[in-house]
Amino acid sequence: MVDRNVVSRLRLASARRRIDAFLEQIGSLRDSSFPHDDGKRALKLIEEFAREQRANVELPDDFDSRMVDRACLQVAEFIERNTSFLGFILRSTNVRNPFELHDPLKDLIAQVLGNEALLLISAEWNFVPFTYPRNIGILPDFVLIGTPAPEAGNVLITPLAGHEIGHSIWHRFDLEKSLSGEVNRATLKALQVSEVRRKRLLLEQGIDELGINILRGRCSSHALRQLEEIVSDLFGLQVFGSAYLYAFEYLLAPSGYPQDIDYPSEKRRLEIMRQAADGLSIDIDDAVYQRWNEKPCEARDRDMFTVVSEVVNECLGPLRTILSEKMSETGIVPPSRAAVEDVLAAFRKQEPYGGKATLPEIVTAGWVYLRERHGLPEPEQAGEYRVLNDLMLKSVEVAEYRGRLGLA
Amino acid sequence: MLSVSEIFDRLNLEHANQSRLSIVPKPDEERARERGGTSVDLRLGRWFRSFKQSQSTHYELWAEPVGGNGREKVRAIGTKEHFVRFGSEFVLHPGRFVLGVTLEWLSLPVDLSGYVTGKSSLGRHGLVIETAAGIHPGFSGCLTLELANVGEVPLVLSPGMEICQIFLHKTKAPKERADTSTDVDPKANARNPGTFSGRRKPAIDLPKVDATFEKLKGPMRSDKDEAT
Repeated sequence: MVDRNVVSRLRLASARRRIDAFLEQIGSLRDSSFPHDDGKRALKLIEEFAREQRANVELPDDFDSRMVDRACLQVAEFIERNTSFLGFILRSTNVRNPFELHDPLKDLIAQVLGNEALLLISAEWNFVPFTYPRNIGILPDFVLIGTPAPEAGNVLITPLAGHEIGHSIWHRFDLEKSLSGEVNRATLKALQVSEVRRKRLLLEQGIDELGINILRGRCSSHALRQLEEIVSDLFGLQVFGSAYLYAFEYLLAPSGYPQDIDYPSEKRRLEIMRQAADGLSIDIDDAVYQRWNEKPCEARDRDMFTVVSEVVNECLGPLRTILSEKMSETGIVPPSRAAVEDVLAAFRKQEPYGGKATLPEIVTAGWVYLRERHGLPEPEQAGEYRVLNDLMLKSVEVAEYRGRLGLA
Repeated sequence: MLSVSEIFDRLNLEHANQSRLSIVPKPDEERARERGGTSVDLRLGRWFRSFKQSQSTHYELWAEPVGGNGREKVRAIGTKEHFVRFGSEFVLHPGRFVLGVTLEWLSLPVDLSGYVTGKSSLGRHGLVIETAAGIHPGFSGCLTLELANVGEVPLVLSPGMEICQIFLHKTKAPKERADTSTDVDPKANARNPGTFSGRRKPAIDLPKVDATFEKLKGPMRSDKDEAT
């Protein structure tokens, strides 16, 4: 039989070597050219946690083998969980990123999440719209905004950052707690609509008759996830106005992704945003709402999706009220129509805007310009598209310049 | 050559006026008028482009047309971009060369041209900025600056510092030379930006091979005849 201490020695040596390699990786990343300090701070935080992990595997070989195994497992999990963040931080230093956006986006985040909030913008190689993980335990004060790698420098997709910040708002204001009572009531009601449906649902979900509370819990949980997505959409819309919907269309239309039960259907999302846009008097090109394809849920989730949709519809009213209260606390309003017109006038003359404008106003003007030029579809218009991007970024830089000088 | 007062008169014209000059962000008018003279100072922007060490033995200073000349293509010179935020610094070591860019985005009307020069106060410390680069009528974009440290100590550059100055001249208005000129209307230019127009980062495009150069660098006619 192999000596238990020999196994422990080998396992501990491996764990130490792995965490040392992780720390070395952090060391080499520290030498990158960080355009802003937040990336360095994120690295420092991760390093502190990694050093704790390193200390945890400084155990003698004859230590309780279960404790040794647990410490080794923790190291393995830590590395698995956090290596992707090192990649994210490294890519945040790539010059393809529009670094000019960092300060205005951070200001926006500070407005809703407080001055302690930190920001990382980076290109994602495995980018999937709207599904970037949030709430990273190791980086609690950070908002991470991932952009699709081939379009890291595309300012026009910036409004989607509003969606990511919306998730932070959901957590910051604990909207789940505020809405859970309403969601539970609506779930009970939805499950009582039809006994046949309820029984089918229990069967589909593999829950026996006595497990109705489990079913209710699952429905509520899915409904809350959908409501979180709606909050994120509404926040993006309120902050970036029509540009949010144009960016949404750019990345998702004509869609046809398989329906995820934790998301309302894209058609429904657009309906909800359209109502909100009307309420906020935001002008949006009607073409955005056209020709969205939908794929149904997997067969076993169809009834569940129907019930969850009913619950979400019931809770939309309370959600709008709560969100509206929170938004007025932040003081964030949609882009000013007059400011967008001024920026647009400059873009039409191939000039950046030299006056006072916010990031959402500048990006909205960019989208309006692009749409009035029919999307610049011709190959010979590629230069104009590139110039538009530079005009937006220069306008953002000028806004920062004006802010630093205290110009009105 | 335009005086400072005339430059600001042009800057203050209505947006719709075809003679309007645009510099964004606009230079401090009061300070410039006080200083007088015939130039406006421009500030250093936040993007730099340095040159990479490489294994290539040389680089051609022209861009071959598509299809090339049949020879193995010499790769474009490798560069690296750097972003330096306000309040940070870029150190230019003695003997080193880097491309910078003006913070300001210029848009010239069709009846103005100009040139950019360094500031003598910086030149005296070893910082050479460009060699009287011309700015054509209708130009739009940030100006690329060739920054070289010809001094003996490292020089610290920081975005927002005054780095160069532009002088502007009146050119013959397009109407006066309509028969001979193919001058670009700025509106048209906006729809079809030129190679060096409309950029916020330092540009490094190579000049394209034109028909004359193509003929000059090819074999002599008699050599060709012999070959056939």
